[in-house]
Amino acid sequence: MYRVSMIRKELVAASAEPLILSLLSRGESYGYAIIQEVKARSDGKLQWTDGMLYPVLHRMEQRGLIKSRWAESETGRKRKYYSLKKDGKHAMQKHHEQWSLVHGVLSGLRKEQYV
Amino acid sequence: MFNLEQSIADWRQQMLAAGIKTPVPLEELESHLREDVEQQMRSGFSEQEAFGSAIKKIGQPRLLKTEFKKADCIGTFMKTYRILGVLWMALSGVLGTLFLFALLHAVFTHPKVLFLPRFHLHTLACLLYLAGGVAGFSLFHCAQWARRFVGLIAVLIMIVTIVQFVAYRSLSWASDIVSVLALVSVVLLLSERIAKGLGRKRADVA
Repeated sequence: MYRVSMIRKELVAASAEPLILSLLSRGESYGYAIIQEVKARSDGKLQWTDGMLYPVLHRMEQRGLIKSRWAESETGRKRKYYSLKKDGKHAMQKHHEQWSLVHGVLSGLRKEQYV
Repeated sequence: MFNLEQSIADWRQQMLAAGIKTPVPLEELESHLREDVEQQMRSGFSEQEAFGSAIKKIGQPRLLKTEFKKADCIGTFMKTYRILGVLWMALSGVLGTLFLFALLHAVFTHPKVLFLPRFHLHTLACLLYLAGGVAGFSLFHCAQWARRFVGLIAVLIMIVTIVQFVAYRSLSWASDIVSVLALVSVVLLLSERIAKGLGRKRADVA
């Protein structure tokens, strides 16, 4: 999905869904804002090819994880806003548990290297 | 002289030629494109530079089409699940309820039926039909757990129907209908699994 600067494309791809779900858990948002937020939070190290975000959003919508609605922005432009559904919240919880597990194992192994 | 509106119209044509559908997702991509162009112009880029950079970031139409096609494929399965959900609610749920009333009536009028193996088999079938109706409701609302549950109920219903047929050489019309629905559901659920497996294999090869 992804123009990679520093993070491998496989990792960027795997992290797309949990990141989108986590961002949407804070409230509804739209494609451009999601990309900007991820870019800002990762100091530009996690960069998606903009257009490729939309097939991911559509796939997640088809799977019933998120829902969308068209609305007008403050500038009068039509935007498609996405928000989390109940299944999306469960999926996010699962992602958090799995990523925490991977992070925990990696951190543990790293600590052992320095002991 | 660069004309932004003309350039966006040309870009739309390229997207349409590649098979990106309108209004969705092309309108959403165009909204993104315009937002990015505006943002870059606010940062000091010229209209032409901002547009060039924005279409590059959106990506190749052919690659986008491939990704949207995968999403459409999931959408087709979801529509199928919703139809299946309605069928399970309408057939399994309603027939299960009627079956339940018939069984209760039989118990109250002839209490001895409680000791007949055939009655126990009918009760099991009735409970499975009712469970199928509940699962159908969740399947209609795209709950992921409902797919596995419907699959399990469908297999159990087919087993009970076979047992009924082997033991008594006869089936009720309700059993016929729900068994056909169960068989169709199992085939559809398995076909999605197979399609996913093939998709994964193709992705690995790519």
